Amino acid sequence: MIRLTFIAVRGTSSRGAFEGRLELGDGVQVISAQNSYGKSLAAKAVAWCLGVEVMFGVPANDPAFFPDAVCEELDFPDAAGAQVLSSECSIGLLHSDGRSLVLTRAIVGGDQTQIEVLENQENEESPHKSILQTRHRSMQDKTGGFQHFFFEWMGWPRTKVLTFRGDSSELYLENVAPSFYIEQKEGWTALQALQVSRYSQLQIREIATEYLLGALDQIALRVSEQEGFQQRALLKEAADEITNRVNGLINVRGWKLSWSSHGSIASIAKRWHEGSLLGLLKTQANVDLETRISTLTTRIETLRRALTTDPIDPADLSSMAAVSQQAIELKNERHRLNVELNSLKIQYGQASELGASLDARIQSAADVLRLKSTGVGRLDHIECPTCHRDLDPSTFSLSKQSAEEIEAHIEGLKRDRALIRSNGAQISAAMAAQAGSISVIDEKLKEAESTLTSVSDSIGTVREQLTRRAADLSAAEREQDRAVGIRREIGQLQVEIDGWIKRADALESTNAAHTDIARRRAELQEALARYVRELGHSAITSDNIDKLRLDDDYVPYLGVRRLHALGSASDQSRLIAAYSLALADASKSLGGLHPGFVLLDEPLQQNPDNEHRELLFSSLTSELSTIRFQLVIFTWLPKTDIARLQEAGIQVHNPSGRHFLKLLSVPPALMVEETSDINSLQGESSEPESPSPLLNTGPDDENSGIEETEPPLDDERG
Amino acid sequence: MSSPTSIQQLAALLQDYAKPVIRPQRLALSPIYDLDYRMAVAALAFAIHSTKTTDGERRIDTSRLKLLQFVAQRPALLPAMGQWATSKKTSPLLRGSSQRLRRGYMGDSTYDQVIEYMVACGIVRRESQYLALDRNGSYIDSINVASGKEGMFVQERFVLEELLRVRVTVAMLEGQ
Repeated sequence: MIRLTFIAVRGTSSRGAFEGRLELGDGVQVISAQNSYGKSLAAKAVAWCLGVEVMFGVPANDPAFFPDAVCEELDFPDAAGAQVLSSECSIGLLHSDGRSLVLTRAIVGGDQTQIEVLENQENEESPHKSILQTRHRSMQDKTGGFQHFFFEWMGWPRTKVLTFRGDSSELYLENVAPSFYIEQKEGWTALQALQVSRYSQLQIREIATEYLLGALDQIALRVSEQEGFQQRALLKEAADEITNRVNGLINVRGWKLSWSSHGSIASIAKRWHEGSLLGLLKTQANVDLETRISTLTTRIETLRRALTTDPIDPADLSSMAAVSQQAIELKNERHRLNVELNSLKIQYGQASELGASLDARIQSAADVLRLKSTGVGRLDHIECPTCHRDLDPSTFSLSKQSAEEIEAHIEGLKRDRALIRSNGAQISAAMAAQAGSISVIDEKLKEAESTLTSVSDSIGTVREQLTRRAADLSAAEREQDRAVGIRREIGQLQVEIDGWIKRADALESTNAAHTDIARRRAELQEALARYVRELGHSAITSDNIDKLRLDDDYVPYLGVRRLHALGSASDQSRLIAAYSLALADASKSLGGLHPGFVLLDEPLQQNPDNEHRELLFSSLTSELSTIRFQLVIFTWLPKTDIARLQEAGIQVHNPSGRHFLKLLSVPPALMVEETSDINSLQGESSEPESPSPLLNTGPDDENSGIEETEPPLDDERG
Repeated sequence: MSSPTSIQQLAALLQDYAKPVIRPQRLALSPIYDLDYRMAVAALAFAIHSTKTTDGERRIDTSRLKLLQFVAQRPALLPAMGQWATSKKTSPLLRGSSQRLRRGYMGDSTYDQVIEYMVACGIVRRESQYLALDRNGSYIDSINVASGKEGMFVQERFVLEELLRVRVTVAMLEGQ
């Protein structure tokens, strides 16, 4: 874990150099100063130096969220309206293992896409300096990316997350910062109010919480489930595509087979598991392709023998009649099928018309319901112009329906519509099958007519028989070719179906992993109960504290109601503060990945009354005095309160002067062109060796690690 | 003793196991019989199809209103209405859907009751064969404006506006 050691802002103005600096220690650090002192400036300097400014809704590397004081004009007691020529800020971070960092970033007049990093190892005398990038690919750039460096320095593993677009992304510092950095305005409106949503990361709030709790296996499981959802969508699409091809192949032959991609992946897989396409064709459509092919093979052999070697009876006159009869039967069959198809078309048209009519009736009924609920055009009081009695519609044999009756009627109409739509879909499928049957009959009829023409052109009974046998042989061979072709296509489809089932089975068998998230959630829940009670949330009492729980999304509930919705309006900020502290506390207990400091900017501004200030005092002097992480609170307290806190051992910074930034009598370090003592920024004394970051920003520095990269993307870090 | 019929067998089965279920949606009447709906549609028909007299008063032939509101409640009849209007009255086409249309609208007694009610309410008043706005005539404009603004009765309005292009003859109003 780390803690903040100092926050500094400095620069040059038209009236000279200026600087402001806050030294911070362990545990609770209260910075008490009056309004417009510059507390928020100091708080924002922390976010800027960590490169998480996007959580304020500004584009990356845009310092627009800073007050004008450091960007444009400063009012010093003796020098009002001083123009800011350049400014920068620094923070110091101290790791529990002894390593430390000083992060410095220009606000005005320098390269805002760079952060100067001074890294001090525990056993090294001189710090290692590098210039890192906060712009595009800050996480991916192994040599010059600030986030890549910072995650490595912190020992934080990089974590894959998914986006709404279906591609993968990562968890960034600005995703976890809203849980420990509570900004003065928006930060107190909701839990993780400053969470960055424009990166389109899925379930990023839950993932950020799990990351701070150290529940990396839970994040991996969550991401795996998300991938599962995406894979399910892809599988569903594939199932629809396979179904369309199966139905296309089956319908064109006029076979009736129940093959659909309705339902969940599991139910489709179960259904498709139950039998192969060839098996279903046999049982449902009574089509046995194997038997048919083997029968055709036998028939072809018989016909070939009959054509080539079998004797021919010259007295046999039946060929012409048989061929003619076959053509007539096929025509009759086609006529019958056409009549049925026409009947189906009429039924389909009527079902469509009925469906459209039902749509219109549902729409009208919904409008009447709105008419009744909104009271549009309603006549409030109607009386007879002659007798002045109220007019009763029943006198005119008319009635008014209640909203409930109309709702019931709409429900009935919707059921009817669903039935009609289902009926229409069935008719449509039957039409497709019927059209397929007609197409098959048409082919056969064409062959039969061709045979009839050939036989009738033949002279003599022998030639008639030979022609008929030759035509029959040719037809049988074509039929066999078609059957073999269909079997091959069905075989290919079956391979795809089997592959689909295998993928579906594999998908269903994942997600069975178990994590220790229940333990981590329980730890957070226990800590939250402690802090929320300590900070005096009015909805929490000793009787109901055991009903406080966190749901799967880490949203606090009291019984069945969200805690957010309970208590007074001012309890909102107490809940947010308690949640942030509980997260740091639980992370510490669990060995999680919380950075180790919580920054609360103006917690009392939300509840400025005495009662709530007293609650905070009692918390600071009891529960919070023993916290195992750093808590930095920016606020304003009267002198009596400051004295009380100091008596209780709380470190209260009560800086003198009206403003955080002060004009320096001598030019500050960064004004000196030759040298500047960077170590002095860390509150340590050592030999000057590094030039000012504003005067020496990078590319020439051998430790800069800068690579020319693409311009920054606003939508997401790389 | 003769063997039980299928109905008797079914009755015996249901006696032990059947559980009656009441579906209120099957008992609820269609809003087409609702007074508010009928008044709203009649008001829209009046607002869209009424004409101004020389003294600036808006009015509509009561038979025309009866036909218009009847078709507005049944958008599926719109094509038949067009056919009817463009066909000669002796045409065999009249024996199709337009015949049903005529029979339906002529027998729409609910309309007569709704108009009686609207007259009693002072929304419209009778002037010979016409209906004109009465002291509470603002109801018609309020329904027309509010439904347009709220996107209500879109279909009914569409049909009524389409009917502006259909030439409704006296013969049609007489059901011929």
